[in-house]
Amino acid sequence: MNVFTLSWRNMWRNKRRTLITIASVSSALFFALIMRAFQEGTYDRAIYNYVHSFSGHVQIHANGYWDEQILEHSFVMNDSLLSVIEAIPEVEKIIPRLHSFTFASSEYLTKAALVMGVNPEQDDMQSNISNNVIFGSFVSASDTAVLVSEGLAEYLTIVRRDTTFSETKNGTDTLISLRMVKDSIVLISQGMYGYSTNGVYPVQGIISYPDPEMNSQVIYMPLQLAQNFFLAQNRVTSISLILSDKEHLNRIQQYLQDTLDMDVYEVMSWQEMNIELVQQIETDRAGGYVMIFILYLIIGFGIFGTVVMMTAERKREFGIIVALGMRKTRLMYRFCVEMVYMGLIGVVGGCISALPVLLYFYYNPVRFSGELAQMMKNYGFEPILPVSFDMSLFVDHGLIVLVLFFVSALYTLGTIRKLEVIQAIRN
Amino acid sequence: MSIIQVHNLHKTFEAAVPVKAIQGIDLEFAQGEFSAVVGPSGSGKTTFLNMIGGLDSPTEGDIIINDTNIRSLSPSEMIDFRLHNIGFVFQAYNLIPVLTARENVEFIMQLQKRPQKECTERAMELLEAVGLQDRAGTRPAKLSGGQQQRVAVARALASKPQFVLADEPTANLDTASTENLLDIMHNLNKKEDVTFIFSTHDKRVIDKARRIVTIEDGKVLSDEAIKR
Ligand SMILES: Nc1ncnc2c1ncn2[C@@H]1O[C@H](COP(=O)(O)OP(=O)(O)OP(=O)(O)O)[C@@H](O)[C@H]1O
Ligand SMILES: [Mg+2]
Repeated sequence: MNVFTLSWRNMWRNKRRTLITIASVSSALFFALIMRAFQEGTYDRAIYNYVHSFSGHVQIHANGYWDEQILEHSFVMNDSLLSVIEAIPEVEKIIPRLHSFTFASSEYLTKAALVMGVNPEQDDMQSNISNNVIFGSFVSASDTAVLVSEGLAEYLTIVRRDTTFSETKNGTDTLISLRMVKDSIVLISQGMYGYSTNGVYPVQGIISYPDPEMNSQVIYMPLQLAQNFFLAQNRVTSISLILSDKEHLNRIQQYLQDTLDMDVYEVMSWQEMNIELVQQIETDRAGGYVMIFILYLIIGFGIFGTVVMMTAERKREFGIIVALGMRKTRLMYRFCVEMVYMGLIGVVGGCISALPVLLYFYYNPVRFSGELAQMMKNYGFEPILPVSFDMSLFVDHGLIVLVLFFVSALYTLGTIRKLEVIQAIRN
Repeated sequence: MSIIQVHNLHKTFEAAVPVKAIQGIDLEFAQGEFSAVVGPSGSGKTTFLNMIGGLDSPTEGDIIINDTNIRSLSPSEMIDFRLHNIGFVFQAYNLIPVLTARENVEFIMQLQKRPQKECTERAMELLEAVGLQDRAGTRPAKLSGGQQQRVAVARALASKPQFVLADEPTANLDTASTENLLDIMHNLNKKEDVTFIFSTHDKRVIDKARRIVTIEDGKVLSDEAIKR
């Protein structure tokens, strides 16, 4: 009889107890996996949104730009810079932008606004920003028209909100519709070298941002138009790099820092540019860890209880086996195999039950509605509950469970080590 | 030829009032003996058997089994020594519950790392000798107390030990099972020339022994050979 068959049989000596133990482990693992997958999924999503709609994984600026975001800290996109970037195979997209502040006016109203100059087609491929155009149409690189963010457009009365009521069988239906009442916007700002600059631009559409701050101040412009407006020909304030995988981020940031002249440029990761998001994720993740810690603590005590009972029941048998001539180390090894079996069944059970659920939500993410959705939108999160599907999650939690079993088994190993054969047999 | 030599054996259990369980025993057991250690309760029979079985260590004195002074063995050497030299039958519930009768007998041979084929053959041979060949696939819980003890005897012999120690092997058995077990042990003793040393209170068992060592207060009171 080999050790595996024997351990297997031993495991099922008390069927009910073993099943309860395995079931508790499986369900703990199930909850832990689901919870962590949703957490990580939400983080990944938030990062993805931020990285793809705004920052890129890595950004190149002129040195000093991040601390003082002025046009004087813009730089020329020259060939030598581009050739360094383009030679990196992991760089999937290169998105130059020119951002600067301006005053935006319409009739009697004026407001500070942020001009975001970017190649619209390229940007849209990344961020699907054209989906956020709620009125009018998206711009293209050669256009001389702009998009105005929803909040800003309302403030400047470029659009009006019309509310119409219609009687239906179920009561009154409220319909809110936007109506464009003006077709252009006046921009006045300071351009490069302190020159003042101004222009009147046709408003081609209204764009809605989930982030309220952006929603109330952005003017979206084709890059060239923005460069012309700011008298900053060929200049950009940032180049965003989208990588084929976020894994490469640190390496490529390091490479760029080593390769480019750091007196001229600065190379920042999204984490450095959005410390808030990083901290928010870390805080949230820590909360999750605490919950999981408590969950595993409870399960761990359950396993320990099972192990203590098993040990007490089998002490005499252990004594007889050692009396007959099995070395204690061998006996310990056998017991460990038993524990690993039980642990593995629990792990496999937990993973197998969590897998279809995670797969389902991976392909059909939960969509929030109502206040919760609004809250998430305000934070710049898309109001969906995505899951992350990372095999390392399964591996990590499987290992944690096995460690719980192993730590509990230490009790038995200790008992075997200290086992007094005669005493054990006499009981 | 003696296979066990006991010299000046003492055992004192340390307690608030130390218990002098064995107080100077000198004995020898020869190959092929069928000996009973008898004496009143608390006289030291179990303690004595435990020490010659290497399960407990003497306070004083020596036990020499086939030229090996077992006091000189380390704990794990002692375990290996037991595996290859000593067969055990305990009072009751000797068997590993998750193993069938045959597997219980094979178990000890597997510990000795003998080839599986040999293990199975010898296990079946021994189960036949104890009259349980048709219960080979049964687990202990489904065997009677007497049957379990017979399996235990088969297992004790499986390792081809120098001698078999049995501490009150019949204590939990009825008359019929007791006689049956004794007959089996007796036959094996003759047929396989296995040395049996057992302790007992039981008149029926004592009657079958060919040597009776009587212990009282940890000392040998009498030692008589019986011709049958
Ligand atoms: N672990 C121990 N600690 C203290 N005293 C012990 C221990 N084991 C045995 N004794 C004592 O040693 C003496 C001999 O005990 P032992 O078990 O050898 O007697 P026995 O002849 O086998 O008795 P029984 O016929 O009841 O089985 C007894 O007085 C007993 O109380
Ligand atoms: Mg006794």
